[in-house]
Amino acid sequence: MNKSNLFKEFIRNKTFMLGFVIFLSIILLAAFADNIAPFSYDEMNVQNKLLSPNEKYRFGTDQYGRDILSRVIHGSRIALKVGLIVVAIETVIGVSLGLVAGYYGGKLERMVLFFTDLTWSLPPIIMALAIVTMLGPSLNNVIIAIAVVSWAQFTRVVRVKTQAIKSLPYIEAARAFGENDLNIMARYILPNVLSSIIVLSTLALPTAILSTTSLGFLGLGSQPPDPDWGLILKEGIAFINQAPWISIFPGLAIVYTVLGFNLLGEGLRDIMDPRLKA
Amino acid sequence: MNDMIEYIVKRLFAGIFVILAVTALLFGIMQLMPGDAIQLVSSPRVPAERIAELRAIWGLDKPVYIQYFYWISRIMQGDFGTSIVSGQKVLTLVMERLPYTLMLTGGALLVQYIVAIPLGLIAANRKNSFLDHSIVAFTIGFWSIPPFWLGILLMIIFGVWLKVLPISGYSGFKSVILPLMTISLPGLAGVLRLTRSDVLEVLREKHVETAYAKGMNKSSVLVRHVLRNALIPVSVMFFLNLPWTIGGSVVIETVFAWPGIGPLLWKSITSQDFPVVQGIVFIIAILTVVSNILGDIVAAFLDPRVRQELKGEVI
Repeated sequence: MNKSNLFKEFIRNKTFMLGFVIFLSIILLAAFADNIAPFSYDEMNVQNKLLSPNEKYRFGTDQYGRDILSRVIHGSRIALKVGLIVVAIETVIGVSLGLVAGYYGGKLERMVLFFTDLTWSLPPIIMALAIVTMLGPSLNNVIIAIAVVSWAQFTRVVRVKTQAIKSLPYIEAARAFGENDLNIMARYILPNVLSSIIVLSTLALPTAILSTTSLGFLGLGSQPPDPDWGLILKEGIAFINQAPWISIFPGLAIVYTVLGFNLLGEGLRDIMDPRLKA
Repeated sequence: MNDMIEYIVKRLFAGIFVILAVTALLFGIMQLMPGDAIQLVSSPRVPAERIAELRAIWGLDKPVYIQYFYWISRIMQGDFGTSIVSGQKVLTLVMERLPYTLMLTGGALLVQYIVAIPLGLIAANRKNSFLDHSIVAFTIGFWSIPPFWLGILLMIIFGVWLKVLPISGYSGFKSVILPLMTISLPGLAGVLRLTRSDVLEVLREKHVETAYAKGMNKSSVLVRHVLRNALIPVSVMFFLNLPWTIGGSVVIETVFAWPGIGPLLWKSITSQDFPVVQGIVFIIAILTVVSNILGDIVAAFLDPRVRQELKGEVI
């Protein structure tokens, strides 16, 4: 497929385009949060506490009189940052284990498979909770915990693809030319699994954001006064009767973001690697 | 049948091995923490000789793998240790709450299957109709909603605005409705999608064409040939989903202050009550491994091809 055809296919895929527009809007929101948000995220104003949505405070205010809209806008930075870091760690761990296992096979492969099975032998949220218990509650520890429990899917896909590629003649040729294993993996195999990796990473992003907001909601991630969407929801639930808007808008922001990334990922998959649809 | 028994035995042994590995990993993680149980419970005024003595009594002066062996053998005898915070036996604490969690997750799975299977069949049968598209859109939508926020939303709608259902705690049947809906809806989307794609796959197979060619009518082909085959992966999924549902319910139980293990786990994490965390995670690990084994056995039982494939190969 040449480049202009691929481009046309991206434009024609409605799922991808819708996801892409949402994705762009979130990037812009996060980049220009200081300019877009009407207030800072931690500006307290006790006279204005628990106001319902109005002209000045579009999404209402919380128990300290902080503007919910500004907090939600600034929260997009945390969500994006966490999502990207988690996925980057997952991808590096998962892909390198998958490459090594698929390329060398044998005992090494069995060991890697055993570890992937191990991470699947507990529900990821439980494993992440156990890790956060050990490390203590903080956003960084949540990032580590979620990355550690969710790399296995990368390994599974990359291992199978590597196995298929390594027996192709051009790899034999590279070996005959005296290329070392590391070079063969990085320069001859990796580029051929790249499209699967891109798709998997995009689809892992929404999951990572959902998991961090869950842990944030439990109070194990970001700590006050950070405008983490999960944390705002945790604080809002105490005022669910007087001020339900605190509990509504951050949730809508999560759904918008996650839906956007899901659409983007599904679109990418249909175009770049339809066989991943399992 | 001998194949089957051999397969089950192999699967069980592999399961025991996985449980040992998971618990060793957990135990190792807990060992990495600064300080030990004695330092956590004793005040700094306790003399060093007494602490050393206590360490010897608890076996904490032994190497880690010996300690792990002690821990496992105590668990075999049903002794999960004592909560640092409340002083109660961990097993008692968990067993008081586990029935509530199982009631919620069991109920949620049941609701999912009763609703999702007919809908999936309908969606597949009228592929690309408006109904099919809206069912698929519904499933993507539900994957994007954080389950705990779905719970909050239902609380606001039914508890705060309509005031028809209680929003937290447990006080009879009415309290079950909201948490049950919250847990079953996201998973329902998954079961629905799986049923739909399985039915679509079976519809393409030769024996379905043959059945039509024999002159069977549409509904009996659907039920006797399509659904029977399509339900194999769906029923295996039931067992694989059980631990995932329990994992998800941990957060949702906390939202609704449900008297299950979720809030207990959450409280124990925030108060650093390690023995309770360890105990709960251990019990969930066992539940997970057991349901995975059950899933594999059911798969092999329903589908002879799986039995052939997996013959001799475990893990």
